[in-house]
Amino acid sequence: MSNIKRIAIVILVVAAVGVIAGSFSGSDVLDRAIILGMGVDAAEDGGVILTAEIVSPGNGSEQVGTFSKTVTAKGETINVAIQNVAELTSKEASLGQCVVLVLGEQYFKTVDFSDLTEYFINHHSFKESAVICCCEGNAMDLFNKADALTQSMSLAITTAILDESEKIAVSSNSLLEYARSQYELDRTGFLNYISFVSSENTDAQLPDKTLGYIGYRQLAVFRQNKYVCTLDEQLVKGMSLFEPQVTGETFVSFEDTVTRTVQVTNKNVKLKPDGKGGFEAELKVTVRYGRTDSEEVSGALTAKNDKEIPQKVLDDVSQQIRSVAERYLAAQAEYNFDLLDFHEAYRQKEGSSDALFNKPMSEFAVTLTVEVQEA
Amino acid sequence: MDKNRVSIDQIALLYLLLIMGGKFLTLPSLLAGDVGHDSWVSVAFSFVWDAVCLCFLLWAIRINDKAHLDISAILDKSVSKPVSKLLLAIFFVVFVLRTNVLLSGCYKMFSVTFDVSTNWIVYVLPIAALAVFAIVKGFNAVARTSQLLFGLILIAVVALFVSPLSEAEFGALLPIGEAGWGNIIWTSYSRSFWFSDYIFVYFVLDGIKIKKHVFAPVLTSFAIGATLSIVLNAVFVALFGYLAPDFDMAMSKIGVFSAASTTNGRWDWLTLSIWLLSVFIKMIVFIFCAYKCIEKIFDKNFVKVNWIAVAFVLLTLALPMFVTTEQLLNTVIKWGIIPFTLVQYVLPLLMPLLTKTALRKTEVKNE
Repeated sequence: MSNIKRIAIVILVVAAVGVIAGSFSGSDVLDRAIILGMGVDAAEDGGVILTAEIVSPGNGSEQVGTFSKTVTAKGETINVAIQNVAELTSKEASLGQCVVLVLGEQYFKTVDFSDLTEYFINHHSFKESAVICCCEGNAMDLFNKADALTQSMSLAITTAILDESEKIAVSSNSLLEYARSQYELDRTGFLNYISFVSSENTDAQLPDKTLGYIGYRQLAVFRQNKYVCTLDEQLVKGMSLFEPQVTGETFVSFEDTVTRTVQVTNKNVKLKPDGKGGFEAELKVTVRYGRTDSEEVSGALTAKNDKEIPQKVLDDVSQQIRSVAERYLAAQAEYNFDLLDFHEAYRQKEGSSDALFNKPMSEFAVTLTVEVQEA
Repeated sequence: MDKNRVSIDQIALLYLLLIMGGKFLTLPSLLAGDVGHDSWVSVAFSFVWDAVCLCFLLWAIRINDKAHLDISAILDKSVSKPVSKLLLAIFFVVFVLRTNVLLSGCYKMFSVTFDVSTNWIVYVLPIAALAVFAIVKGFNAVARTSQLLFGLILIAVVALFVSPLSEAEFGALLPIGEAGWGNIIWTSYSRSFWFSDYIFVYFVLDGIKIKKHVFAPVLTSFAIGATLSIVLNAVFVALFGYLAPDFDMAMSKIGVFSAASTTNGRWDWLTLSIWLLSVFIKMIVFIFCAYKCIEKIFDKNFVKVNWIAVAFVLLTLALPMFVTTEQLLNTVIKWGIIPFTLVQYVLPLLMPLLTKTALRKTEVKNE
């Protein structure tokens, strides 16, 4: 091949690469409003108020990372509200990094938000693994309290629900799990119900600064994206007893003048259809004295300790577990929601049928066995 | 050295990449729409048919070991020239359609996952350039490329579907066969268009080098590819449940579970990009085979590249500008399933016999 041909080929290739690269209309990161988290509230006229926590790089002195700003926009639908956020920031709203979606109290208690769930589950960029939860009061107020946490509100909520909740006996949910629960079987599911809890400010230099933390020990139950009821701390504890991966439930036992706190470190849960339309529930719970040192390490493969919890205490804890679990099962039957997948267990056994999907929870009789042992 | 000469080991690696390259785009959601949580069973059935046909095809390769007859010579001598040309024309349609379906899937994958959009021509240009390069340099270039990228792609695929394993509810796959066995088997046939990736082997029959084993390397690759595809389908359905038919970009959506928390960033984008290389390789192989079909239909064993034939093949890549993938699936592919079966499933079963016949006739002629 002559040199001229070689040069011609190189020029052609460079030109082709230039044309191709220039034709892909991706947008620069500087032109993007990267949304970390979103809060949705009900607007008075029937639309939605969207509060977005945004990390927007390249704004001069603005710091990027845990420092972010919140932008609030209104819209008839969530899509319009997101577009309005883009208009307010003069940047394209990017949902690919959004980790949390919070629904405000008035919104989730009064609105059928099927459209919203469908919008996000079908959204190409929005991650199905993102956390979806609801909050006490307005989502907008919650997001505007980021200063009180001295960190990004979205990241604080995500860390709490994704990483910490299972250690303090609270079940958690992702967008995908929630969306599936609203479309499948009896169509009931839950969202973590969070709140901002103020704490006392003892800082003499900044006496007016609000301090606080995210509380997340409650759950809200939904059927087909409509609010059903709220599970208080005790009911959440009862629910978590049936979930093997969730540990950390604490029980207090009073023996004569001594008060002892024990903590669940491991569980073996068997929840299986009894063949008569009900369930056999077997809870084998391992407990230890509640500690905050390295002894707290939990799991099935931890080293054995010398036995130190009196049998009387174990019996008392067993009784408490039974009571908490039965209270939760009664709430399931009363409000007719299925968070322990009773319908799913029967579907796996017998296949899908409308009769099964419509079977009320009160018709699932549960025989409960509880066994408590020391780790 | 013959630029189309490839070893059986290279064929095996390439085959594995082709299996992984096309089945994780739109197919999982289509199957979920057809048979729900039994889609993985349907995939397993498809691979059973593939395994049987592959064994027969490998047997034919073994028979053809010394003579190195190409597909055109085998068909011409065994089933007559007109039938041979008809079969090659069907092959051509299969390759063009499969390339276009893959191209459309990839196009959507890019815009969905990476939020970039471009016009069709500019999108196709680099792929067309690579395909032309493969045609000019010969099949050996594609085989060597796949050897080079094989390890990376395999790691990327495994990384993509391992991350959501903890989120998947495998109980959702029960009871097995709920969609009805007849329905599952029919689905496995009606979606057979996405399977039988071994068909590229027909067009390199004359260049395969066999050292010792024929069956072991290819069947091992097949087993790995089939297992990965079945597991991925199972993970997909276990993850998305009733919503699975709505998620038409399986790999893009499965990947997000590797990015559950912000500390991980979006490294699914990296693994996804690496996996996409296998789709590109698959498209290039199919374009190469489509070109070979034209070469053999017109009885030309082009010494140099025939640019008119290349231009014609590349022109067919503009098809998605006029017809949507869904239209293709509901018309040409739906009704073309019977002729496609001929080259995908019937021909491999007959290949040992046809090869023997062709060899006998060649020997007689030589005598």
